[in-house]
Amino acid sequence: MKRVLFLILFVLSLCGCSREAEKTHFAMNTVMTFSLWGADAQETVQICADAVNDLEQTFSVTREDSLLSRINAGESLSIPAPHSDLLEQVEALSLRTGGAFDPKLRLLSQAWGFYDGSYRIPDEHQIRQALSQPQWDLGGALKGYAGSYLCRLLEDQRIQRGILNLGGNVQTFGEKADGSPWQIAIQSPDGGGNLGILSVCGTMAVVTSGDYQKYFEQDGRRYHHILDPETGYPADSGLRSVTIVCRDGLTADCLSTALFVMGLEEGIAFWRESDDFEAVFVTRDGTILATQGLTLTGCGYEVIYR
Amino acid sequence: MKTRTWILLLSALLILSLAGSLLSLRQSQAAYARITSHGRVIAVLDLAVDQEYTVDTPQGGHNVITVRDGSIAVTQANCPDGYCMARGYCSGGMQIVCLPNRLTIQFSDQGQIDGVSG
Repeated sequence: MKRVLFLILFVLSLCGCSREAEKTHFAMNTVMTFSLWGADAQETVQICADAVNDLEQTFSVTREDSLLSRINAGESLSIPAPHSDLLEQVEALSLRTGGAFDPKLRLLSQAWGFYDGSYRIPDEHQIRQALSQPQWDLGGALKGYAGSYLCRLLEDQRIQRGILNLGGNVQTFGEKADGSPWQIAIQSPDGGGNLGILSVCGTMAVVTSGDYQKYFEQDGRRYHHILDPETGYPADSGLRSVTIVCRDGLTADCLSTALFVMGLEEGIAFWRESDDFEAVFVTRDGTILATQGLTLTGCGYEVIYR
Repeated sequence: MKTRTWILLLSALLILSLAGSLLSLRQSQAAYARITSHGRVIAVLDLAVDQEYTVDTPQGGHNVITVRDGSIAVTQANCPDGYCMARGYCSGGMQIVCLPNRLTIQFSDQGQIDGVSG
């Protein structure tokens, strides 16, 4: 009898421990993984998936029935809560980066064939025409926003900690069980493995923009998907990738694109004027540079100071 | 116990721990690859064993995964874009994805990494 009681107590005590739940979710034309620890982990991974689907339904640029597509088509609509201020936030970030991050390049991306894979190099006329008609495309902002939005949802659940990977955008939530920092690797632009590992504390977004993520090759040249709003061509700034570490996922997502477009010097100057993010730059010759607030291991790198 | 027995025991222990630390230092690459199809883990492949693994889904997806010299790649696929094959052989880092066929290859046992940004 005592033994049975002990067994029951033992099993019960196990149930009380934080549980892990993991869910792989296909949305926003990418793959996402939600890993959560906490009493509500099982239900919450599904809550995350539903929330991402809602966001996609509202802001997808490739779905004709999304609110954003209808706004692009000229309908005057307002975005309902809880995302009613997203477009304003994105415009503010675009302004902050002097337009280096431009959330209205839909027709330009379409001209390059990045939506349906019908890749082609548009001529000058097509580029000018695409740039003259600004239409929303939140491809460089939505996953980052989703990361921070999901964290707000997690706060209402019994979740101690978690890692959300939204198609290469990593969002940490809470602290690890032993109090040590999260170890977030940066993908090497050459493929194959990791460049280095960032130590990140607490709830934080780690977002990378790189020329290796989406591209096509023609006549021996690589044309990647991060377009420079000034030239209409893939940004040719001498960088292979930019990683941003920031409390806010939306900011991290927009700034990784913006700093990639700006290039190293302008990007460093922008960082010096800011106080809400850190960055890792990888240049075309393979040099790695990290701003002073970061802890990077597993690679040699130069530190950028204020 | 005799002194000699002690010396023998301790030196054996020393050699064992040295070998152990050398072995663990060498493992900077992933040891296993987790294959998921439509969000479900369907296999964990040991990257130390050269092998070929075929995934055919009811939805018509077809991918052949090859493990060679500690690396893994998608070597055949019927997806329209071929991105999964373009990744080539990987031994760690970001997961390999075949989006049209809902296939992922995730790396595990990479030291203490909690996530990959890329």
